[in-house]
Amino acid sequence: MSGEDRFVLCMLAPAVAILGLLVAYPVGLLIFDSFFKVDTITPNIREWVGLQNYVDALTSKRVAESALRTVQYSVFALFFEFTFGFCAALLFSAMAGESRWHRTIFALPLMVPPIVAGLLWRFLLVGNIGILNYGLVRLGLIDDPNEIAWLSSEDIVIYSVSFADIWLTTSFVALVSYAGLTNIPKDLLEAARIDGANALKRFWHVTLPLMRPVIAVVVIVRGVDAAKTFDLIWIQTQGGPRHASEVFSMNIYQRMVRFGDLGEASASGALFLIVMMLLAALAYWKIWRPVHA
Amino acid sequence: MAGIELRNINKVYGNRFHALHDLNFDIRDGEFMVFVGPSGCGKSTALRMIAGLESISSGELRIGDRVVNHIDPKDRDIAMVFQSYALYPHKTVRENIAFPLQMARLPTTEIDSRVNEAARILELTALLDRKPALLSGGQRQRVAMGRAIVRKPAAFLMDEPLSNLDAKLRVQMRGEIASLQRKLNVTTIYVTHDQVEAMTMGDRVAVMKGGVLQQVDTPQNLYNRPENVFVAAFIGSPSMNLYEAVLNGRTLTLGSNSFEIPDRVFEYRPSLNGASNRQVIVGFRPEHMNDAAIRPSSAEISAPVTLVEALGSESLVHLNIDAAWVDAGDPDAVADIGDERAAVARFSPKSTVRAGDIARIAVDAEELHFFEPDTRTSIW
Amino acid sequence: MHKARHLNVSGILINGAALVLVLSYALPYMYLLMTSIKPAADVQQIPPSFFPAVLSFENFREVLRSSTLPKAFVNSLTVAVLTTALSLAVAVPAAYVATQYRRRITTLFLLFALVTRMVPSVSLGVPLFQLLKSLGLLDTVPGLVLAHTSAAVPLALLLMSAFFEGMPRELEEAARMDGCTRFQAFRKIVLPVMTGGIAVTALFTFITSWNEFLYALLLTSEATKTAPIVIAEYNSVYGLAWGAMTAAAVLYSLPVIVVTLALQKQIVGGLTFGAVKG
Ligand SMILES: Nc1ncnc2c1ncn2[C@@H]1O[C@H](COP(=O)(O)OP(=O)(O)OP(=O)(O)O)[C@@H](O)[C@H]1O
Ligand SMILES: [Mg+2]
Repeated sequence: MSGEDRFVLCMLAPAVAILGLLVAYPVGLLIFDSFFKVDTITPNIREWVGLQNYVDALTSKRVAESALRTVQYSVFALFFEFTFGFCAALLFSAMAGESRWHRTIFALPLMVPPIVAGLLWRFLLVGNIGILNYGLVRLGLIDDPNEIAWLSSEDIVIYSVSFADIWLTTSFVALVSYAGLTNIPKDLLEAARIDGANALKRFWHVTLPLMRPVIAVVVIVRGVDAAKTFDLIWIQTQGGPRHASEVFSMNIYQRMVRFGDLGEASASGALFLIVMMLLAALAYWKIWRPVHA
Repeated sequence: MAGIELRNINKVYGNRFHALHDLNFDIRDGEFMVFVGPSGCGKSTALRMIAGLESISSGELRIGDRVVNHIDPKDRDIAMVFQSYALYPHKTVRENIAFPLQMARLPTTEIDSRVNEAARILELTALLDRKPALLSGGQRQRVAMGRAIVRKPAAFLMDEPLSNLDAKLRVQMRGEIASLQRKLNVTTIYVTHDQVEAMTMGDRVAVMKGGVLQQVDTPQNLYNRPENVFVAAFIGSPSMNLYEAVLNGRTLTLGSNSFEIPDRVFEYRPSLNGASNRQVIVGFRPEHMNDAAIRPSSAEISAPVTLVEALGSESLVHLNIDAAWVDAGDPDAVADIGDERAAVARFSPKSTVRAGDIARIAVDAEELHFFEPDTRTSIW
Repeated sequence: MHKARHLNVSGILINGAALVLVLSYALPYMYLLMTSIKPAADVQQIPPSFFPAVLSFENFREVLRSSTLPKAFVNSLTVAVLTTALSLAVAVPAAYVATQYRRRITTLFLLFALVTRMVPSVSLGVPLFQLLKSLGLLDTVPGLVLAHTSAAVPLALLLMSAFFEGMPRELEEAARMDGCTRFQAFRKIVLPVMTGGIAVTALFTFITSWNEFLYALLLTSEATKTAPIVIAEYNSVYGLAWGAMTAAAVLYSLPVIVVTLALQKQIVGGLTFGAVKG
């Protein structure tokens, strides 16, 4: 081994060890445990059950519902984050050099801990004292401040809890998109303008295609984060009312902590992991790679 | 101070790319050696192997009396000036220059006096407490030089140290580096792709192409006695004109032109004697062609003029010669203007030839170069 | 020229829209600040008012007088500082060789780090619980630090790789020519040159740990509860103690906001080229 190889290994080794111990080994453990029936509440129960945990998870109505809710939540949140964030980035870049303060203030939610964001939005939406409904009354959109029960109506709660997520991360989308927009060469847009393309055409034929990699990164990173969300929803509703806002990660947590069913929690966790990897890989192949091919 | 010897040095990169083939030559103690060649020919690779920054795939490298193949750069006692200068941005000029001495654990008083001495030589004294970001390009270049000379190493290595400067400063620094090297008398290897730098600075010049050494010689010899077609075309600007021709006795036939070769040529190229119908590559430099109307000679050819570039002090006349043109194989050579196959002659500005004329050209036949068509090496 | 631009209609529209957008995103946090300085009794008044009628620090006094919150802040701070130190210690050298000494194993390694970012924390939380339990580290500071490090190291690796990507390789080579070993070149030249990037990365890993909730919920019980856990508990313990909760939330979030605002420029840089969320 050359001195150079030795150096590379020495520098790499601690990180490899840490990631091995704290990520690779636990993931292995997760998959191992998923084949056992383990009860953490009455100890010493640990028996091999093969794929039974997976069968149980895949056939459980509550698991299926929570998975569906995760999708609803992620798509809803991602759609609005993306729309608002991209529009904000377009506005900022249209303002050229005058958007510095706007961007600074707009970035504020990014620094707010998720727990605080969750609490805050719960406070804004909660029945009786939630100021949002009073604001809507003031604007004439609803008649009675108790008309919309954001967090206690089973039909809408999964969307209501995503407001906090949208508020918290729109600025991430905006800042990344803004950086992408400023990297688009000015002469390309000017060339299109000389060719007679109007603002809309320029956006569609020049800006959007060039922003594709940035959009891909945003969608992957934010999509994965939204699907993983736990704390934001937990602090607002703890999954209620009547599981109506229980997303997949929360379902796993409940089975682990409240029911002590480690085996089934592990099986669900492993499934979750696999789905996330597949989604990320798919997004990577479909959106990102074609641009770089 | 020490000489450097390269014995059958090869470099194969991790991706199996064979960048250097059997490099073999000596650099004498105190010599100013220049590596020159087209882009990608392996100059930097060779320099970085001598520095120890790149491993040696096979062969033997000696600095002084030591084989240094497996010795760390820090223990080779050589200093390097990088193209980007690589100044430490967080250190002041003084700290930059002092750094190699600190690493060598010299006493502080010694470090101070050496840094001050180097700064004085390079006229950096007033800038010692500035950070590199606040220096001009030329000043940064001098700091990089300072960091190299302060150590009094056995050899200096420089990889295109002037290529980031503007033309005027480059000419000035070229002179300064050359005279500094003479003063310090330290073995120096200097990489450039600017042949003017190579010719004016080097005691000797190594011309490389495609990872193969073509010729190592003094600038004069490279110009006067190139060993192959590539070196002949690479050294000199505009390039030497190279065409296929036939030699019969003393008569050279170049396309539709024929002329007599003087005896002197056969004296220093004896193997040309008694040629009959011998295929050769003939080379003639632009500066050895004159307007026959102004300076007639015994060897004259005529050719249509395709283009005249009047530069004031001289006129570059492009000629369409009806013999087979020879490609010297310099990938960087692109005709700035006109057809690359055209011959270029350097006429006196008094010449009145114009594009479209058929010009009579007086060739200085004693200055002709001859190469074998198959091996492309010089015929002596 | 400049005047004319301000006066044109689309300019006014754009500026107006941007102002509305920015204000609507700033309002919720403003409301949190306003609520925290209302007297406790006014917090739950119906209908609610945006601004406090009278200024009062009653809520802050209450949360600071309780024994749990100050202790939780100490825990959070300890865990975050240790997580940052450990993550940087392993991630900075690794990111350096991964970008500057590129070869197959380093590329694989970076890919692995990237993939790690996709792992849902709950999937990792379940086996981490097992692991820490078997090591006897449940509900201890080192245990939580390890858990947070598993999330912080991949982030630090990606950020630091992006920073090292922009550093010329010649700096290290020059140092080696000047008499350094590879390690010395790293320590004496590379690290000092990269302090800016390291500081930004440190801030991001600190925030990752400071904000983390799920691992803290799973892996701590009494001794090492962190601030977000205690704040979340205002829910159940005190019923709906909104006043105390807003005050605690402000204490918990404001320092980070102030520091990040101060370093805004570097942070936005780090954010956008790492394209990662803390
Ligand atoms: N790390 C590497 N791995 C693989 N091939 C390389 C590496 N470094 C250089 N090469 C190849 O080796 C050849 C020689 O490169 P080198 O940098 O020595 O050229 P050079 O003569 O210095 O050119 P230039 O004048 O452009 O600086 C080139 O073809 C280059 O592509
Ligand atoms: Mg080079």
